[in-house]
Amino acid sequence: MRPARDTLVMLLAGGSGSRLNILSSRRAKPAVPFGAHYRIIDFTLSNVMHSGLSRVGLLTQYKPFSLMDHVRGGEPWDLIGRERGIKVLPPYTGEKESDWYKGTADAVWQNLWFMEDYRPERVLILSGDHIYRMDYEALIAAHEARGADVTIAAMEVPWEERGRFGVMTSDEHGWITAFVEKQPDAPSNLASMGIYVFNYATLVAELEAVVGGRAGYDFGHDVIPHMLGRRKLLAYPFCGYWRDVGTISSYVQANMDCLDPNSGLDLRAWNVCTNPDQRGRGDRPPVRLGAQGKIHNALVAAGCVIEGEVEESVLFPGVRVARGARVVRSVVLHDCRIGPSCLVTNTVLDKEVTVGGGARIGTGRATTPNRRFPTHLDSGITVIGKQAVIPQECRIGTNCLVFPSVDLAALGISTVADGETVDPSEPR
Amino acid sequence: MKKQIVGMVLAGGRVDELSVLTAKRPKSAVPIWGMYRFIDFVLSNMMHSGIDVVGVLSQYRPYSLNTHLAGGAPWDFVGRTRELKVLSPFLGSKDTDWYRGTADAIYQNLIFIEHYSPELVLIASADHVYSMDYRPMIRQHLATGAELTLALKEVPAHQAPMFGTAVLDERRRVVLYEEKSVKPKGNLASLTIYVFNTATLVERLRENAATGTTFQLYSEIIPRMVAEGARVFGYLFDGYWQYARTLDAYYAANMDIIGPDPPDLEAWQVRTNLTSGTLGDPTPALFRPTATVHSSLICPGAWVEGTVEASIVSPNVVIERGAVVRNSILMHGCHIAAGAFLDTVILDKSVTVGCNAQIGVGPMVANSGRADLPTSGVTVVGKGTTVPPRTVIGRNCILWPDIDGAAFPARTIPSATVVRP
Repeated sequence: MRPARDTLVMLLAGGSGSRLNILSSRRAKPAVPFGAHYRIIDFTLSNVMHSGLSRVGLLTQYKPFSLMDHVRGGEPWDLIGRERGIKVLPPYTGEKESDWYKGTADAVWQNLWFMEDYRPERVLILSGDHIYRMDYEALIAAHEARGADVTIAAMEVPWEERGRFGVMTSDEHGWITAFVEKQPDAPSNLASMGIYVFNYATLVAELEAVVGGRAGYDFGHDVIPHMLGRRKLLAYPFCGYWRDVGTISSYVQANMDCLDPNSGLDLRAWNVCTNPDQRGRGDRPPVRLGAQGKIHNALVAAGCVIEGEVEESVLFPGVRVARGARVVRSVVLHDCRIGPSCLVTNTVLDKEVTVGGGARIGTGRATTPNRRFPTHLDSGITVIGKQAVIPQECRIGTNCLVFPSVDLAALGISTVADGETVDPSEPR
Repeated sequence: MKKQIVGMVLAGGRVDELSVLTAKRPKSAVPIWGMYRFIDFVLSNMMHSGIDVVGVLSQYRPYSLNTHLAGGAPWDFVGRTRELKVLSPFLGSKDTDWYRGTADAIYQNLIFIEHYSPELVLIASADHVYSMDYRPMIRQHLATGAELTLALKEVPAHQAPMFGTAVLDERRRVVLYEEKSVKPKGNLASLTIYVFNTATLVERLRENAATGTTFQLYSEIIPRMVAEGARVFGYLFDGYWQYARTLDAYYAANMDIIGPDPPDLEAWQVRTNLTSGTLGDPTPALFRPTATVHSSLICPGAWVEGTVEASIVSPNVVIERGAVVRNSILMHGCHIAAGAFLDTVILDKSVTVGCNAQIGVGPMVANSGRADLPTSGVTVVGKGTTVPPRTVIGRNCILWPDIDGAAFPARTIPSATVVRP
């Protein structure tokens, strides 16, 4: 028996990723572009593929269009065939009420009918929000070998960060004895990765008791604590690279990790698959470097044309860097145009941003957090929204935010000071 | 199922001139410009022109080609009303018939065309590199009431003898067609792109099958149609169109893409199959901190630690630290170890170059008239060969595929040498 064959995957891909601010204002977090030509969800879907799993329910909720477009019928991850498939499971109107998913457990519970179609032995619950490589088959094998009711993948996180996670305590055999969700004084630093293997009967019974009884709607908050002491909960230790790219600074750092051979993030070895052909854009030609082009330490996707200098940066398809321009420690999304003699540093440019010649972006002091979003932008990174237009010779500082589709020239703006936000819907 | 037009792609020919590059694949499957193969251009043109039923005529070692075509999915030829079919030779009722020529290949597959009852058949070679919207040519064909329309391009007079050439009247009707004449009267070269009325094509193929000797469209059917006064017209094309009948020409055609006035690949929207033969997808190109790269074309999956100048680097090529690659073409999956030096070299797929090896160095030695060797100075290494560390190889050399490093004949290979396993 290959345990993977009798396991149904429920992939939670509905998160809004609100701390990613404008990067996730028009797309769900799993659909946020990452690593020059991937999207965040590619990492989880590639893990599914490489683990031999073949049946997936994809639970969407927040702005699913980019995501559905990207996942299509699942062909890029070999999820198409007689016994293979990926089904998109959006919220739906029930007999009694319109039910948006109220939490992770509620989302799975509302799709019980889908799981009943397959009556799997086990259900693997994943989220599409993380960058990591994991063999779920080994996780499932451990779950089977130990006879657990639920197995939770867990990794040790720095003590000071434990309050951001569900945190567990386990005995010397790995059985979980305590579990608390997002408490700053949690007694352990063994964090849940939000990856659960449930025996199917256990899952149905527990969801019925907790969600059906309206006692709670979330795995970490409600279902797992409810099972403690009654069921066999196993911790499955994981110690590789794993990042929740939920903030602007962690997003930029994880992109930079693609460049560092010692980071643990190894795109080659992980064999990440993606959908290269989204929205019929056609195939992009290879990267073209002009006579003055220079690239040091960068990940550069197809279709880029580099006449200037690129250092320690991640460039998505179709970016053009004109002669004399420099792009340093930045993440530049699809089809941005960076004009001659620009400097773009410590910046995330969302798709199709145009930067006029001689502009300087991200060249201020990192000590001023963004005034409007001080918790989103405080690490010295400036974010420019999709299709924004930055005029020639414009000056934009650090921790700045320019909203999507803003044309600074049309607004008469030539300077954006450190920590400022340009949002045309907000009175200035 | 009725279609207005069906595409037939001539993809099977073996071209000896491309030497070791066509040892295991037809020319249509030879890689060019980093991540494409010759056949990608005609298929992309058909796709963008709205031709969505395509037969590919292939008989020479078709494995590599079939893998690449993958049922036509990369060009969107998969669906209820869309199709790409590889048309291989088959056993007939009387004898085993290998395709005797281009006309015979289409004749033997008339069943494929007739299934769609098209008014028109567009026949095009898979061996050429160009971007062309076939629709204006088809419109001209219909407007002139032609039975056959040939795409033509003006070439310099000294090149004309290498082509079929046509002379047109003021209404673009072909009044003279000569196939590879020593002294042609015209300098409009045929691009091997034909639009036929289906009825004319069927009639001419039946006749040729009974009476022909070369069974070629260009040497029998077209000259005869013109000579008999059939309505044959020329369609003039003046865009980029390139071909390669020798290794030197292949090298030059490749270098066009990093030359001073390169074709605009972004505008061409060429599609290819990047995933054939591999489970995963190539990563984006990775440039390590030690990389120095300029004036080059770098494909997804390339991993560059060394120096690359004026070169084409295909997917999944690794160039280690301290290696120098100049004026060269590196096909998929080559590995260039630290300290190696390459100048004016073509490496076919999966070639390994050991550390501190040098290829393409030393004096230019004339190859004393040997037709099997390049003359421009380019050295070519066949697929899967391993060049051991510290080997020194000269210019105008050919190394055959699959030479094992342990069995390498010498540490120094002088210019104008052929190395076989």
